[in-house]
Amino acid sequence: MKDLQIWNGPSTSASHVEPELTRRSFLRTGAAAIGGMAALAAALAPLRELASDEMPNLDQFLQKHYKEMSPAEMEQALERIRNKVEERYAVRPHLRDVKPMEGVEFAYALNLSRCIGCRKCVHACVAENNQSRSPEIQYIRVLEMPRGTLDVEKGNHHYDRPTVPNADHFYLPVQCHQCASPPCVKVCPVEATWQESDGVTVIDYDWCIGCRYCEAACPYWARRFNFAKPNLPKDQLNPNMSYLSNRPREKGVMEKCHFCLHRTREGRMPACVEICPTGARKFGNVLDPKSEVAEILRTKRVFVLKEEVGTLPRFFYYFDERYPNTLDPEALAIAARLREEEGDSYGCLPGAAGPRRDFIAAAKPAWWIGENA
Amino acid sequence: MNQPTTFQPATTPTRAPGWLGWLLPIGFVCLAAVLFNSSTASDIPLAPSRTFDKSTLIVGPRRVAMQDPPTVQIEGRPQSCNGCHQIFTSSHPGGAALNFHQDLVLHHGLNNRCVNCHDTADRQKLTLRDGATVTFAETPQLCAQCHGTVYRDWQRGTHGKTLGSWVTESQAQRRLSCNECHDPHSPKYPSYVPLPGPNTLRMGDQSAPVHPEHSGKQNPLQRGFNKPASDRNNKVTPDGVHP
Repeated sequence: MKDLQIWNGPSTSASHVEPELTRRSFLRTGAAAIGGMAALAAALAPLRELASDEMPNLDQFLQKHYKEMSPAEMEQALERIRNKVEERYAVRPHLRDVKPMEGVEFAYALNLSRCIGCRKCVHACVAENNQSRSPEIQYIRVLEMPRGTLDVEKGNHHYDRPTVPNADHFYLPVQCHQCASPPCVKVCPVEATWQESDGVTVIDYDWCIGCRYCEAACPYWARRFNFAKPNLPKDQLNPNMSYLSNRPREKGVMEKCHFCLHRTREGRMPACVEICPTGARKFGNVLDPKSEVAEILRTKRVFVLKEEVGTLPRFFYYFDERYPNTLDPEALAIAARLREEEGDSYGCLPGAAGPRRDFIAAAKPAWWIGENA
Repeated sequence: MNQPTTFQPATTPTRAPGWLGWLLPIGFVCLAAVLFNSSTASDIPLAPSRTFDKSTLIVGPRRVAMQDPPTVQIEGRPQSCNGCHQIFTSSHPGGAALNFHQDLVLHHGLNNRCVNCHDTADRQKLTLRDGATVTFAETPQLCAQCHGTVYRDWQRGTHGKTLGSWVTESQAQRRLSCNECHDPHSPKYPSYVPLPGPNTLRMGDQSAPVHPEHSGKQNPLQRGFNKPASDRNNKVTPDGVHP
């Protein structure tokens, strides 16, 4: 065994010679060791900035992956998180681990003909899911799109208008599409994110290492990263939370929309659906043929965003047919019969002799009235 | 020692000067001291978040529909419609000169007469096209006479808002009626004041002027914002690209 020595000149013989411990080599070795330790201390210096409640304890350090935890271990982890939330926010949370329901696959549909871009969904989501308020984290991005294109690169999500909707634009809200073939899950090097049986892609916030590969892989810009320590005022905490959804996150982990699974797995609507003033957002079980989303998929003109990337989203956009379908023979027959039966009063309601003639007259030029009078 | 021929340096290594060995650890110590003292948490610049009135985030119907049977408040007391209408006749059934109900804004296209929808005999009922009457709770049947396609969509759940639960069999599920979103007298959906937009970590305040370093370059996130709307949207090139 050779002693640590920095440079003792070229070896002169092949035989094993005990190096001479000179005063010079002792000082050199000692100085190098001190320097190395000082460098190590400097490298660990950022730990000094951790507050006492941020320092992971042994339980958290040894906590297993979500899928490997036994019920007892999960309860232990939940209790630890409850205590931590209570310590930090002075509220005892209703925290539990909600499992997917049997025979349920969630799907989401959004009516682009009805969305007015009011951003209520964005802020209802923030209030529900305990996102950081500053720096801001929002799961939903409402794009204001010029009419005539679906190229999301032309969208602007910083629009600021006195009122919406703007007549020259339509509004395209984008959030996690809960893909059936999720690229974010494929790239995760530690399997901290996966797809559950009801189609929701979830994240184990205690397992995420913050590499942000998933953020880069997502074609819908749906994933958000906690660059800084999340800042959530105590009075704005939502105590209704679950392990995989809206429990408070730490700095350096990924988060995203999870279809409000702490609500939806108990039969309730997601927060964004509940708040939408126009009813443009629809949510339900696509395996139930009577559900609203199944009905939309059957009867409406539906499309998915960036279909060509092959992610198979569970988030669908659709349009309304704004006029009667004139190719429907039944509708045409009824219209023809009414027109024949009612003559001039076709389209008017009983009790009225017809549309107000002065109303129509006001909309037409005077010479036209004179011609027909 | 029959090893294969290895590379032999052409010159024998010269002994490094003795002071170099000292310099290395001293340099380490200095670097460590500098790092240790300078490693304070760097403050990430954050643009202040815009606040808004949280009372705008209320879950429920957009407007309160007229209850059934309908009542109106007259001098603070609830009165039924027939209470007045059995005494006073309406001189202008077409609604040309209303002495009462002047707070109503009527913007319903050609359907601009009170008695198109309101029954003349019983003011607490609504009248259908065939003369039958329905109660105020059955408003969708009345609307459906003209808005058939929307009514069909509403029945299927593809138009309108559903509250309570996504479970189709659930008792908690409630689909809002036509008049819980639309004002029957002026059904066009109103404009909204949008809530504040995103204020992201790296983008900061988007209304701030472009940094002088980028003078002449427009902020890509504000692309097209300073141009009037007509310039921006009507110029569509043949390949569909917006300039």
